[in-house]
Amino acid sequence: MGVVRDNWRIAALVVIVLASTFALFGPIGGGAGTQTELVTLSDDENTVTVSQSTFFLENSTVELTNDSTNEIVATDATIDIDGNVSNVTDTSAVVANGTIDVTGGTVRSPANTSAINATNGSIAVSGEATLRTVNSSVELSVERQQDSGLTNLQYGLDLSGGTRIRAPIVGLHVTDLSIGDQSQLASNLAADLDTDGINVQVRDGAGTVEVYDGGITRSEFASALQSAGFDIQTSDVQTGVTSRTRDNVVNTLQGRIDQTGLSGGSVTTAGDGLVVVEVPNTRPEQVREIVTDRGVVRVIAEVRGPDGNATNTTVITGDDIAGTDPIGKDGRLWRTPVTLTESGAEKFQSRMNEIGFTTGNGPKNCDRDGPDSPLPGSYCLLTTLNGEVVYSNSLARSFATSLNDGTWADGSRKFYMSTQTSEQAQDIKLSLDVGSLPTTLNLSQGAQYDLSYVQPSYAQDFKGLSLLTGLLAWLAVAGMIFLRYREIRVALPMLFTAIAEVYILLGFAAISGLALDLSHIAGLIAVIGTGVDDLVIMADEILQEGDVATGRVFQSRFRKAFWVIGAAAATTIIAMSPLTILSVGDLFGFAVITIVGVLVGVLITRPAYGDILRNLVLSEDQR
Amino acid sequence: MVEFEVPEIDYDRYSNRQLATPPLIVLGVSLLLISVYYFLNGTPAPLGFDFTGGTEIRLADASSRGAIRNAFGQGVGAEIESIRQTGSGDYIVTFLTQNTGELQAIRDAAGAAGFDIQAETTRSPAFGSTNTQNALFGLVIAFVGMSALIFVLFRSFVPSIAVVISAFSDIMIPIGIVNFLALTGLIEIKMTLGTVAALLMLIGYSVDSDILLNNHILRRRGSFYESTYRAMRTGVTMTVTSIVAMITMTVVSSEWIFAIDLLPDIGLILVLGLTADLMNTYMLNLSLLRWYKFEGVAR
Repeated sequence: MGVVRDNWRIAALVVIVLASTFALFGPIGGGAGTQTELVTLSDDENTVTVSQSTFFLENSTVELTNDSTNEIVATDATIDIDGNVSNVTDTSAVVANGTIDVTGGTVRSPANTSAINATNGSIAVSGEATLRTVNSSVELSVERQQDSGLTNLQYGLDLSGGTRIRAPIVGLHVTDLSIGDQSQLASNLAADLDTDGINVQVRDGAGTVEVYDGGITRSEFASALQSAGFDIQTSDVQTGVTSRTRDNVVNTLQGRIDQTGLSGGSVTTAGDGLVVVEVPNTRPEQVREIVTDRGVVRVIAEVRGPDGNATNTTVITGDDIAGTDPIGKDGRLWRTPVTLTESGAEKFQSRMNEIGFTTGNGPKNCDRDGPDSPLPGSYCLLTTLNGEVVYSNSLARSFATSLNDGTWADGSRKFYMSTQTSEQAQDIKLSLDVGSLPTTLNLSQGAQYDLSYVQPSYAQDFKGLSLLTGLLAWLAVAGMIFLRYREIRVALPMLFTAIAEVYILLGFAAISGLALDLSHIAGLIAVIGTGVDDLVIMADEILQEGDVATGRVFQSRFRKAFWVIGAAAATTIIAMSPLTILSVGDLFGFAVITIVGVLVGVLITRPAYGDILRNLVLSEDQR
Repeated sequence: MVEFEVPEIDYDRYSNRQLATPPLIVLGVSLLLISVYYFLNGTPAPLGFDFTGGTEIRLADASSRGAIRNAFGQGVGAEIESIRQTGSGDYIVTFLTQNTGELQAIRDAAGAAGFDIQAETTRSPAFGSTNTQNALFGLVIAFVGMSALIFVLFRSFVPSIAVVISAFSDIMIPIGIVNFLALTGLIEIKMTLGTVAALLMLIGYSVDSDILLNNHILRRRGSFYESTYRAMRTGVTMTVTSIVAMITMTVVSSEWIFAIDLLPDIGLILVLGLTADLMNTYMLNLSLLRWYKFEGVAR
């Protein structure tokens, strides 16, 4: 036992290196994530083999032709999922609650498998399957279990590819108000500021008022509040939104990204109220759309009198909708079936009746363009997405009748939102499923945002190249150390200790699920540098001229060396700590790796190297 | 085989004044260059698009600079700020714009010309100016924090201020060199986020050898020159090893070889700063310590 007690620092290092090995290669790690890659199947390369994967078929929507079969038919192309699916227990492939987007094509599941599972816009394969196209080109986005090769390490945007947007949220807010009538204040402010009611949020409990309209300045907001009777100056108006709204934005964006099938995307907040959106394998213009579209779906009843003046009434909003069904095609049109909530249906019914939409000239009389209508006036139901009219239609007579006699709201409360294209139908469904954003990210000229995109294949190259760079830097260090000490007994443990530091840091990254980026790699290389510096201090102190006659002399030298190392470590930690708090680009990762690296060095690896040196210089009986 | 042995310098031959003057002159010239650059351009050093805002794209499959200028010339309306070629034949093109419409025009133009956009980064001017503010603020905090720690560790004025001045000089000299290169028109190395990381790292890195020197001279037995030589043997090994590591990283990751972002920016500033540190530690810091040990303490 004496041996272990004397060398407990080495023992601790060994234990931690083993733990890191487990974190890096073991089954638990940080839990392997998933990664997405785009595969284009065409003439020459028309097959792809997937296992434990989910794949997404882009661009158009295909519905199940028949609920009882599991064949999804489209024109132009065929995608066969060829057998070799293990654990076949059932006779049907399951398609539940899903629309499957295909760029023209057939997805034919093997007849006898339950291992292929399509839910909600994606098809998951738990076993192995081959996808093949016939006579056409199909772009697939295939999500695989993270194929990180050997390790549990996860990689960020720089090293795996994708788009990152970091931006503030559009909005202004005022806190600490005592608010009387919440909805009255909200509508007054909206009218005063000449903005849509959804752009004003009043919370009387929290005493906050927010506006989400980028066109409204702080002084305009302040003067609107003054007219509403608050003692508010422009300086009281803060840029950005309340934390509650920010959380809402983050959750909604995350939901939207997950629902879009852009797997592995993450939405987080950074300092200064910035929101960071990272989506692997996606082009920047697509992500920009996701973060700047409010996703507000409204049905508006447009009543145009014989004089041509139109009155718009919002009859259905996102809040009135309980759920959606898969989108489908109805003749030339696409439509999103929705079910209204009980109160939403009642509201819709009574409003439609109030504005005379359901009787007289109302039904079957939509003519937005003008006077050609056989009946005077025009009664249109407008489906709008983000304020833009995507489709307008008239009210069917039977529908009008059931609304008018008040029976509709007691029925199935089904409503179809029609659109010209499948994209619009899909966008509407997505917006309703995930909910609209209270406000968007601000990517306007004056906003404090940045956006980066790295092509996945190119990012993959970086992974190897930066590893190689680190390795070469380490070799350069090794060369210098050999030249200086010319003694393998001193140099070899030194180099191994230095690399152990990096290894432990990688273990830390794996277990904490840190997504490695270039800034982390830079930090790792910096850690090799500081680590070796400190080991040189140890070696020179302990191996100085005059033998280490006794264990006590060793102890004293070890302590002296450690004073310098501790002081140097403390300065490095102090120098790096501002980067952990202030947001300076992507440097957070650099700072974290450097700080953790210094701590690992001071607490674990460098003391262990001291013990190694002692074993080298002290003979058995001197210890 | 080459031998790496730290030379023993005969410090006896030089007066404190002789030792301290060259590093102070270099520091003075650096500060002057920074002032001149600031006076001429309104910024302390050439700022890259991390701080000014703009767009950088990396293109594969472009045949020449001319082809790129042609592709983005007409109809795009975004001014090309620079075109650089990497070792692997890709081109890195920077634009001053970050406007959404123009960005899309750039993407479309790249597509039409058959270029493959491998990477794209856009930073808004507001983001850049926040970066600048936070970077400067961070540098000041880190420097003040480090200085405070040094004073706590050594608890006497001259040795502490010696370390602080050396560290200050270590940070200013690389910026001075960058400004010198830019002002003379030799090569414009722009400040990036990597530069900030390197300058902060330098605060931590460069004081190591100063702490070591102070520690040996003030807290150990043995003559002044004996202690100095011991500290130098260790300290020069440390610094030279770090410089070699950073040169390797800078060269390998540079645009001519692997063309990796961030790493060369960090490496270059560290190489310059650590080289400056050799001078500052073993001339400036040492002369102040010698004065303190032989004359200052006696007072």
